Amino acid sequence: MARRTSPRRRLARLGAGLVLALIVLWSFGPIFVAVLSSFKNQRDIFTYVPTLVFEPTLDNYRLLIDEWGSFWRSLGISVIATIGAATLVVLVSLPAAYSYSRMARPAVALSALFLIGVRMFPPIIITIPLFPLFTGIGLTDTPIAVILVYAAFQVSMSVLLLKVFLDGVPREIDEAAMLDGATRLQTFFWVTLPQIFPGIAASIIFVALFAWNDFLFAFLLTGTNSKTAPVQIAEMLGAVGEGGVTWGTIFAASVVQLAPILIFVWLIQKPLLRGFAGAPAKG
Amino acid sequence: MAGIEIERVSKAYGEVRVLRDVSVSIPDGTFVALVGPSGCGKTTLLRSICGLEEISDGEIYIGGRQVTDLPPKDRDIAMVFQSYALYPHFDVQDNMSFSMKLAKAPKTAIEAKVKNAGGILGLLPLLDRLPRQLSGGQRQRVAMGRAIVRSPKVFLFDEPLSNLDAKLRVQMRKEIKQLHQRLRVTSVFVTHDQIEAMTLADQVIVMNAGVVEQIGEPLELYDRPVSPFVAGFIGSPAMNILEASVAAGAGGPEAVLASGDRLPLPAGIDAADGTAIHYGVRPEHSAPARRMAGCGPRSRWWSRPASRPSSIAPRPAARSACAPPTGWPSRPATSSGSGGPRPRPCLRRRNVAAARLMATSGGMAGGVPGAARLARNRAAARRNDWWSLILVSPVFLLLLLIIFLPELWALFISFTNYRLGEPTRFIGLANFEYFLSDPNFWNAVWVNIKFVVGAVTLQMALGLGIALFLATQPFRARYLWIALVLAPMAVSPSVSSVIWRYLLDLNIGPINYVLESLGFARVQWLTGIRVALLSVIMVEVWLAIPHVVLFLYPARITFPKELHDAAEMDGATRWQRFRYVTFPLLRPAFFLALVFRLIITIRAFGVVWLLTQGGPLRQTELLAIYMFKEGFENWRFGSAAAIAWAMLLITLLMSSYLIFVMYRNAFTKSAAK
Repeated sequence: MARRTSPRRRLARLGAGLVLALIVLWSFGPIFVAVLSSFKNQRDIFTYVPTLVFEPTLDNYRLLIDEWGSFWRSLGISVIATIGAATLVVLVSLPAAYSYSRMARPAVALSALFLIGVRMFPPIIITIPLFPLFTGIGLTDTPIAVILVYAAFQVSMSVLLLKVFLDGVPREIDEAAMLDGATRLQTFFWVTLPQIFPGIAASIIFVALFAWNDFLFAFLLTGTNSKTAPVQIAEMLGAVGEGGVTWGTIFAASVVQLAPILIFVWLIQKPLLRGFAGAPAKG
Repeated sequence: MAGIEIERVSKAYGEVRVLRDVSVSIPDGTFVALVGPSGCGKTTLLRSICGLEEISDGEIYIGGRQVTDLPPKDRDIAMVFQSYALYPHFDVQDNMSFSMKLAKAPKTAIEAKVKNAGGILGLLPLLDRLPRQLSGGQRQRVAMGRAIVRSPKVFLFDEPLSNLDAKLRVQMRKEIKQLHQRLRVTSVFVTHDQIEAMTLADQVIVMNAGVVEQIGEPLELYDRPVSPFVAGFIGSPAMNILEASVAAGAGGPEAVLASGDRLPLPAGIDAADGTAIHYGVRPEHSAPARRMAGCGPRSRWWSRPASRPSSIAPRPAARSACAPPTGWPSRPATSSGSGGPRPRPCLRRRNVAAARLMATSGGMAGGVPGAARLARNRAAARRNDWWSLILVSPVFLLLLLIIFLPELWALFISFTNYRLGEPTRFIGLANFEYFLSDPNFWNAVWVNIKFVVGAVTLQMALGLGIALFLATQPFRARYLWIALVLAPMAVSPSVSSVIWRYLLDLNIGPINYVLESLGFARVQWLTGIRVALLSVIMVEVWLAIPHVVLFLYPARITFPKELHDAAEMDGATRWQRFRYVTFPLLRPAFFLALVFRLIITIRAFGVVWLLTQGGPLRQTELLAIYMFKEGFENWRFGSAAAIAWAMLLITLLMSSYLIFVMYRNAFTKSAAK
């Protein structure tokens, strides 16, 4: 079925396509350049005339693997910090969300005001007291320090999110389970919990996004032994041109750090765009 | 199998009394319907029987056993919910067998029971389906199957048919009736649909405003309502209720209407002349009569009772005086369905005085007087409160240790000359005086203002445009494009500074190459005094646009399309549609995004620090960078803490609106539920 389109209409569509191309060039172009450059050899990066056609090489990655053990180590620390923070956040925010959703009377619900207030704290101002405090108790330069801070900054978001999801699970299902003979704990683990897995996944993703990418806290609270990948990359960037670090290596490291989180964003964008608040209630 | 005894049960939510002194005795094996208008307390009574609702006063016995204080699972009852409340993640078999699994019944017994119930309800082919793969009627059957499997002493139904379409409702009604005849388990069925009640039940309980109005067989309620309420509630179309008074007539007492018309009263009515009464007539008991003379233009067909009034009651209808058992007209032999008294189990309103006697004399085992029950309910509520506190406490412990206490300590050191490894001395407001008189501080404030205004304006404008563009243009592979637009959200400050340092590099940067090939001069993007701030604003905008899109895109796609169509038909131009329809509707989301981005942009640090370290010549030295240098380069933690507190107060002040909105949206709404 070929519908005839008027020239004017076609022009409008062409214009829209052009605008879209510009938007995507603006948002994704820089990332694309980084990915592309990580497969270029040093000479191709440095030619003043940017090359789009080139012979792809894995040299940068090979170099990263052979000579930058410290980068891979920092990546490992990032994994530990991310998993640790996400686990801690889920463990403490689940019971709190349950309490807010199912038990809390207005007096306790008021405490949530605090929780939201914490979201507004500028992270940097907390580093001023935390640095001497953590140094005092010997926590700096361990992943525990950043895990605690990441969890503290993300936990309120997670409580809110999980509460919204719990509110979406009808109380009647809880009641049916209780009539079926389940204790409150059994009801929670066997009946309620499985229904908020999407919410748990979402809050893990939020924490992970924050912990994996954070520069500020890691920069201040970690040292040589617990450097995370963003700090390592920043250090490499600081040394570019001066000694030993090439753009190609940095691009390779950046792509390695960026890839998992890009995949994350790709996976979660649909529920994100539908708006989290409405998603569970319709399930 | 067991009967249910409800003795003087009351339930109050604060001042609101939902059940008042309800006493009912339901014999073993009866099918009882609880009807009444919404809010009459029927569902509360049902939930009290099964234990999901704690009662404020009274006792409930099931099979002679006092269950008032037992949790629902120990009452040996099963309930079918209005929404069915099937476990969405269990298949049909697991839904039905969950209770037996919890009771750790042997596997073979579970299988046999499920097979049996599935056979009765025709669910055998569906056993491995999930609830969402079933139709409404099938879900209803699974809910009943789940109840049957437990072999409970009592079945409770909470408006189980109201979510079905009319045809299915009739069919399920029949099935429920057959099920009851087969299993003969005492059943209580809550409904607001009187047809359901009349066709299903052996006995019907009519409730109104928390009290039992009348209990009786369906036709008894229909023919001999004890109060005007029951008369008006049962039967459709409703009984006509006329106001009349009793007067002596030729063949005994008659009812005289206000118009002067006289209507016959049934024999055996015991009312003195002049007594005001309600005279009830069922529509089917009236027939057209001859046209009355002398009525002028208002002449009408007057309904004359064909044989007898359907019901009368003394007026004013004091409730206690509503049920004169002796004075009721007997049902005429002509109406169908009457076969004299039948040997049916009889439901009765319990003798309240007798019940009270038993409770006070301690005749009934385990009877708890009201005060003790009140104390017990209160203790349970307190326990609940404690648990709700305990469950939220880990979160607050974490926040206390990592954020609040350190921040308080920061407040303390902001009044000292605190430096790592040096003795601390209290110096009052010296730190505040110090940074307030530092020109670099005011430079940082000024840079911050320029940065925030520039970056937020740009990101909101571009974000709004992009969100609307993506939401309204019909693209193929929409989600791919959107993912590409959102991608910067995933990029860490470190990696984005790598990317932009390269792109903006004076010598090898592609952007300068493009400029040069277009005939412009190269620009010192990150090192030029005039452009450095613009460059970091650009990078900040690049990072922030996805956030704005995330706020606005969902808000835009949930608009009803009709709104735009309506505006277009009203003759609005594209711009007018945006100005008068789109933007006003987007305003809440836009405003929220604006405040959110403001708060985040004020505290910006990472990318700017990595790109320029505040340079050149402090041209990009934001407040956060100024504070950072004060603390971690000059090691003056005292004054850094003072600046930190100033920043904190400013942000909290700015964000208080956002805090309020988020709190209202997420918490108070559900608390009100």
